[in-house]
Amino acid sequence: MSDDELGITILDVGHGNSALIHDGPLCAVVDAAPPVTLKEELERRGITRIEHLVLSHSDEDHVGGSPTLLLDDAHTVGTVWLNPDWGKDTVIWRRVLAAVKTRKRHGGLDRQQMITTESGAELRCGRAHLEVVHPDVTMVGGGDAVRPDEHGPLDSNSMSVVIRVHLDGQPVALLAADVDAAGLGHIIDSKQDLTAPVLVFPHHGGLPGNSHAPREFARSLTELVAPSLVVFSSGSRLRPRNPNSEIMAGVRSAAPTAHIACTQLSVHCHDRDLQVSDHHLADRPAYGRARGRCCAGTIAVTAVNGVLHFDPPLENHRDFVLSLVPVGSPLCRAVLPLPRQRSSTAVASAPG
Amino acid sequence: MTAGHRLQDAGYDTTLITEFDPLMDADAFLASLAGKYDALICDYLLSSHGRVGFTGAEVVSKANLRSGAPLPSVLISSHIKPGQQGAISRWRKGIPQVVAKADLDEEILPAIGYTLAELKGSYTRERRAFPTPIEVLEVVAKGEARRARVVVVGWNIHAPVWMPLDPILEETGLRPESLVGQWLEADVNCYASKAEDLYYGNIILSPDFPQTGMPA
Repeated sequence: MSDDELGITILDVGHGNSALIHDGPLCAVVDAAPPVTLKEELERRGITRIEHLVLSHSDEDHVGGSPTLLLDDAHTVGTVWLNPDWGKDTVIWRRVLAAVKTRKRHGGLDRQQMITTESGAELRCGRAHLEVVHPDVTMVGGGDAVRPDEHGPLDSNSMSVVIRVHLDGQPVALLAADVDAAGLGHIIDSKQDLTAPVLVFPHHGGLPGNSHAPREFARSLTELVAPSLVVFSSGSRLRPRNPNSEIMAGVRSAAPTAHIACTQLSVHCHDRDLQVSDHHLADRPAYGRARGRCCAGTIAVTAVNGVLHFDPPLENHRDFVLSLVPVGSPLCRAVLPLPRQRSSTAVASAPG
Repeated sequence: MTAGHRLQDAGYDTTLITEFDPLMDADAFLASLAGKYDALICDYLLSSHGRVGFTGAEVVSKANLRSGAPLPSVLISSHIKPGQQGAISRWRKGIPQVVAKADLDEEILPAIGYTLAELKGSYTRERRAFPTPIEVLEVVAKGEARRARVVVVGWNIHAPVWMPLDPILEETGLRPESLVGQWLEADVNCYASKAEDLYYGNIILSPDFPQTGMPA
């Protein structure tokens, strides 16, 4: 690990999300799922200060580990960015705020801020920039009166903070949290540029809220991002049926050559009671490693002179997935029926 | 190789203590050991040796936490019953590790090393404590295991755990009936992997919230 490494690490936290954006010792964290994986990665990198901690929305699989992270006096936190969503008055959220208050009083947390699309200018971390794509002020300021929305019912997922990570001025990853079809509708209305080589797919590949067209949702989002790597941060124990097969079909129809990587194995792909080897994984903390349930595990993307490098190398992951074919049916390799209106007989080939 | 042999190989001479003065408390027992030993290995259940006024958990914890001249001590146990677990939790701050008797041969020397490191101020991630808010959900004030069901926010935002009640009452001055709904604050080892490994120090009423608890 070089001292000035610039990149983003998408952690295998099981069913949940955590990503670490780092420029040498400077770092920002987007979402903090409960397991200890994030802490292990911070320790591995020797990080003693988190410049920005972004909490996308109030679901436990995104913020459940944030109190520990906030309270841990082994490091300091610059700003914790909180979603101003009006619909998040939950027990869990109140406990997150309790942790914020406690750490603020003890020192070690500089400030807390609400996050909207207006916050982006401040979200810098060395050569990394976190562009806030969603939600905008008019959306979060509408209160309950916003419901129902022209794009469908809004809930906490609809208001998820969506971050587009830039490294050295180049867009690299879209972290879509749990944004759903209604949220995506608003993003589309805003006509923002979403393109990024890496898409961390929303809601772990689960159904997008009240949308009755998950394939169309996945296709629309994937077309807007035009990724070369799509990551599903999914767990093999909680919600093991993620990613949803319709979601996967939508992604693959929109980006047939993109590499698809789940952090852990889905029951669609592999017997949940069987363990797999970890030889193909990056040498980084991964929650599924000890259980033998990693697919791609933790994925690190580093930018060196404008070129992106992936760890584990994508070809290693591809070979691992291919090795599953005799004993399972990897969803990302399955023969994909195309919609009937295009062709009643054609099938899409699996990505190379 | 037995635990005794391993200790001898590591340079320890061992003495077996099987008789206890029934009128002696843990502090007096520890005082009787002062200056004689480099380490103490103590079973949780001492009452098989007649009437004893303290548990192994209390004596180990007090030995390790004794200011000035701590006696490095390791707690061993065979089968921990739920009531005993509560008693161990009461003293967990001074018990770096509970060694199962079945693992004693393999684990005794690492456990002594672990204890010595902690006495020098070197805590593992799982044992390092920092302040966290604690929400009190329920209090059981009767029976042998007086306890409170709480959410230790820094440990697990979702799952309640049982916390020994008496230290809360002693350190906050509150009565059991006024605890439910309160927010406390304590130094807790929030990276502990299991609830029974949690310990609590410097327990106070949280100054961040009204004493009636968080607003609904």
